[in-house]
Amino acid sequence: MLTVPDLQRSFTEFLLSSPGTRPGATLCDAICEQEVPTEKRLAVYKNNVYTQLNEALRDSYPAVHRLTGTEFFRFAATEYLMAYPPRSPTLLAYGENFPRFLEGFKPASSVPYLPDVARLEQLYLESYHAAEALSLSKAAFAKYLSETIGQPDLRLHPSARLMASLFPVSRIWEVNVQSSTIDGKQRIPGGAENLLIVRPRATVEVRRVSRGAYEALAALAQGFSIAEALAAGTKAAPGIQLTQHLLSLADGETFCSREKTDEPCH
Amino acid sequence: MRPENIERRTSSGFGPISAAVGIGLKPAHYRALLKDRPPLDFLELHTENYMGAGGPPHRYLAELAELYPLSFHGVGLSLGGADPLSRSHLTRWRELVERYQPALVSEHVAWSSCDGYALHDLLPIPYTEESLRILCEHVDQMQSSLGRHVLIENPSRYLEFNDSTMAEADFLVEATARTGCRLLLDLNNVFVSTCNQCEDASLYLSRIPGHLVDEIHLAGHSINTTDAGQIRVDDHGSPVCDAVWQLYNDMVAKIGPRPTLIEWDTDVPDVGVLLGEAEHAREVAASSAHSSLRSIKHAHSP
Repeated sequence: MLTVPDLQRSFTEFLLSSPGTRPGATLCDAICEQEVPTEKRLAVYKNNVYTQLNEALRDSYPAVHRLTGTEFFRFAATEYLMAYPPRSPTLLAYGENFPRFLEGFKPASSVPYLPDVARLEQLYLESYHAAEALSLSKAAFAKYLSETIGQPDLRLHPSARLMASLFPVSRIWEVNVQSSTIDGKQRIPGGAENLLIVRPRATVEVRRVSRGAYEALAALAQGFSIAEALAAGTKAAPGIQLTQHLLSLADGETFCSREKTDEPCH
Repeated sequence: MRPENIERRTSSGFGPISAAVGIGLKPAHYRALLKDRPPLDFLELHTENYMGAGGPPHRYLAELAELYPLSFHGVGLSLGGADPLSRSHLTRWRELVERYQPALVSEHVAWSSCDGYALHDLLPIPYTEESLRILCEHVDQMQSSLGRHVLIENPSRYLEFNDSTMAEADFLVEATARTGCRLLLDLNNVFVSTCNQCEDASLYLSRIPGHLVDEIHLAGHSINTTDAGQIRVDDHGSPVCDAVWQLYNDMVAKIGPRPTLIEWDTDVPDVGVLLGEAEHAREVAASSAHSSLRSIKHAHSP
């Protein structure tokens, strides 16, 4: 007689094995024989696990799915499941390692921008589920800019995520999530991009920002003061109207002060 | 306007029960529900889908909670798992229950985690004393963490274990006796499991005392045909089948109406389809409750 822990361990080993793998004798011997063979019964559970997780991944990565096609995506999702079996009882973070997985996934290497599209979709999802917070008005942010010393309480909105890519990744993403008619493999104009992904209210926005603004935002995200952030931005892109760029981002509710944030759920 | 057909349950006990009808909450239906405010008595959601910190899921849920009582239905706690319950998962559960004050709280008689892996399926346990001890310990822990009674749901099963020493119905009843929890009776699961084990669904239901049932689930399932025979698969992707409606009719005639949920989780159609199923549940419950009342009256008439 198998103990419950041993039974569940052998069941788990079967469920997380590659699709064609047959269940072990220990597991099969624990199950009553019936008209429909044990292996076929166990296969229902394995199919449930694979289907559920692959669908969750597809829902999180609609542009990657569109770019690769259903069959290739399913193949990649199955390989991903075996490389990064889920450890959280919620599905929200199941795909968090998918961009990293795609980077090293040889069958996808002919699409060099694919990991970046995945990274953008992952950041989109993080932003979508991030905590609520009240953002600073443009006028309040302007005060921070005019008094450029200290102000350790200025920070990015909790939903803000930053991403730099050598590809026109947001344009590729847009075409593949928004359009129902455009061929996903068409030529996309544009080059490297610096992106701010933020959800100040109900909708996630993907904004292309200047190199200087990107460096300034990255410095703020790392906890540097606004003065240090401005210096970092100016150094990266001398001669740009950095404060104007930042003010227009403030108009789009990108910044918070620590006192004015809502208490996050957890 | 806030329907109050479901009594709010507290840790101090259970209130009276009525014929509330609800549907499973799907993101695709958020806007339609807020716009049309259909006459539903409650909405049920998978607790794990609301474990993000914020964002649209919570915005919509907070708005819907103003209109409808909620039922929180967990799928990831792994009450039947040999591993200890995840403390962080239980904490997230508690925070959500405190925030939204759901009318009903439920989980499954199944396991879904092992050795740190989360398998995202409701997996079967053998019906033994060892399993019962594990389940009851976890139900106790869930109830004390949430400060209230919970309902446990019978799973759909595609196999049976040689080691089982109890019938599923008896196992569930014993779990309620040991922990004070109540039952969420999923009639589709009863039908699927008993068909898959060549058992009789009516016999199963005859072993469940009506006073232990605080909620009923109804859903559709599919039939997977193999060269060796059929397996019914609980995929929640179609209307409730006639045989399950018959079980519902019989159950309500026997025990009276209970809060009843229509579940639909794959290939989710327009909300109108779920509302139609919910309306049908309301009609079946009303007519079978009515006919059972009439037969009681007849039995007592001189």
